[in-house]
Amino acid sequence: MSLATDTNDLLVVSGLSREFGGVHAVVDASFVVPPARITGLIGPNGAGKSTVLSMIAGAIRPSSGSITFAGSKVDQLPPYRLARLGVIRTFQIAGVFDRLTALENLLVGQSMRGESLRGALLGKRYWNAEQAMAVDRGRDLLARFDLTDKENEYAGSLSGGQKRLLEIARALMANPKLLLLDEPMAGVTPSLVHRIEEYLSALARDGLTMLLVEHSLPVVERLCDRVVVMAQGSTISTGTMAELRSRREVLDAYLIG
Amino acid sequence: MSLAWQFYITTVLIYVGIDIIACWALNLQFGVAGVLNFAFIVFQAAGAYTAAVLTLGPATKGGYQQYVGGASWPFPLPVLAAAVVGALLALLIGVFSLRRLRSDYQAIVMLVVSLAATLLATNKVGLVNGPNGLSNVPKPLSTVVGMSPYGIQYQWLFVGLTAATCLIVYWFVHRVTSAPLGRTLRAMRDNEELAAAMGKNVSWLRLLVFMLGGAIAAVSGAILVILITAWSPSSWLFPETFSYFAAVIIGGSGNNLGALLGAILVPVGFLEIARFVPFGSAGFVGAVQWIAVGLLLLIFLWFWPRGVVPERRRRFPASAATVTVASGGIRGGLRRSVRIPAPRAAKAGHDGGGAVAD
Repeated sequence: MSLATDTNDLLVVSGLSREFGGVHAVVDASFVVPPARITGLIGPNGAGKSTVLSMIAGAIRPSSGSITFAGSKVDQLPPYRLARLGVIRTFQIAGVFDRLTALENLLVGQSMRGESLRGALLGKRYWNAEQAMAVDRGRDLLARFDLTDKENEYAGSLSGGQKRLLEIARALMANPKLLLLDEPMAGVTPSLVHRIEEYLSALARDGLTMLLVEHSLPVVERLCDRVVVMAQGSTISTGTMAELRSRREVLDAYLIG
Repeated sequence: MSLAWQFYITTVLIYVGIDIIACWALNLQFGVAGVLNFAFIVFQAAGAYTAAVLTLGPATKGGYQQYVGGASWPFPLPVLAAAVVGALLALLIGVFSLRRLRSDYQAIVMLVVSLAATLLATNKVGLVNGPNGLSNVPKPLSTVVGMSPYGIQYQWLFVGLTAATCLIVYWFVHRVTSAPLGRTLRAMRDNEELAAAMGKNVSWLRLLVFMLGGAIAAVSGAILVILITAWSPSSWLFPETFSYFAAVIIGGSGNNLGALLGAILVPVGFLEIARFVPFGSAGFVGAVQWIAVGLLLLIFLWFWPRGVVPERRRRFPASAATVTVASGGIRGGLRRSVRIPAPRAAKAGHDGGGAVAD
């Protein structure tokens, strides 16, 4: 496949590989993520999509290859550094902080001055104003995702769908530049799938860049105008869903595995 | 009240204070941040040894006790030095054992550290006088205030000093747990991978609470050695750590008030009550104490896993729009934060905009 990259691309993944004790999970994966759009990443089970996502987020170090985000090489950075640069991910199994309330979960998404030891010891007067603003912002986000009445509920007691929404809301709280979504529709009722789709397309219209790993091809077709296909650890094709449907290698990958 | 009772009560009160301080340290590590420190007692021991050698004076060659680093520092310097040593020891142990290990493996490493530390202190005789330990540690301040260190007035003074230390430590842990830092630590406890994905430097945070808890535990040890004037490897065998864990879990982990209650209930209350068991042979009471602590822990983990005083749910006031005026405010710095009520601020009665929490 061609590696013609545009300098405007927010994320450039090039020749990325990762092996786990002799198993080649990802082999020479290369693709780009242009800004202010949702790029889809699809492929059969075990194609290495989640591993690629984890490598972009810094949770797994690549064996070789490079990841460039906003013009700088980031493939050796730990997850927290990437998050601070604006690369925020959601997890395949919705990740929430169980014993924090829904609102507190959102507050964790924002970095604050009272998070350092010095800031904490300086006391409430030092950090309260900033936290109060974050609380207001968090409430706005809860309202946007219809979670206002769950504000003081422990996140661990929310339903699967509500956890999913909370996770997306918390990701937004962190002011992401690139949002990595790992199967956000997994285990979610069809009506909620529709709502999440609406949220995501609204975010794309607002200029947020997203990389979406998703199994449901109709969802990908509706949300993504550009889709990367992976099979057996490699990126094999890129294009719109309509284009991909007619490509032999994509059909082979899905039918033969 | 008879003198004997006064001595008993003051001694118990000082023990209460020491155990409360230790439980706050363990609660910060385990209850708030989820770091399983099974070497907790080592930090208390390190504090005790530090305070002891820094009050004993230099060791005399061929004397009955051999140790390193002897000095005669005035109170409260040995206690402060104990805190520093506790933090440094935590840094040393934390750097190699906290970084790349999963929490259950970390816990095992800590247990090994605890056993190794006991062996080291016992067998390297020149370090802290081996199995005999240190004794005749002078009681501080008695010459300054002109009291006999064995009189009841001095005991009450000591109660006051312990209470003051408790207040300082409470101020410290409360500031940490009620600030955004406390929330970040609880987030790390709930899901470390996720906390990292939200931009939290979990390696550093773990090390930080390990050092803070180590310093506070060392302070509790310093006060303990001043009380009992002696310290040996048998005072800090690894099961002592589990007595503190039981206290924090039974009291309510993640809650400073719960840890306080746990300290009163388990290490002090429970062990003191068992002292009055009027029957049994030598060693019987001690054995019953450990069985009882174990049973109580099991009962709580089964029926009330969140303890007597569970962690509090953090709620935020209806609207929290608070603006901080630049320091050196016009009104003489009486109150530097001014609340600007937002339209939704119908419900009054909350103080400031922070979490209403411990």
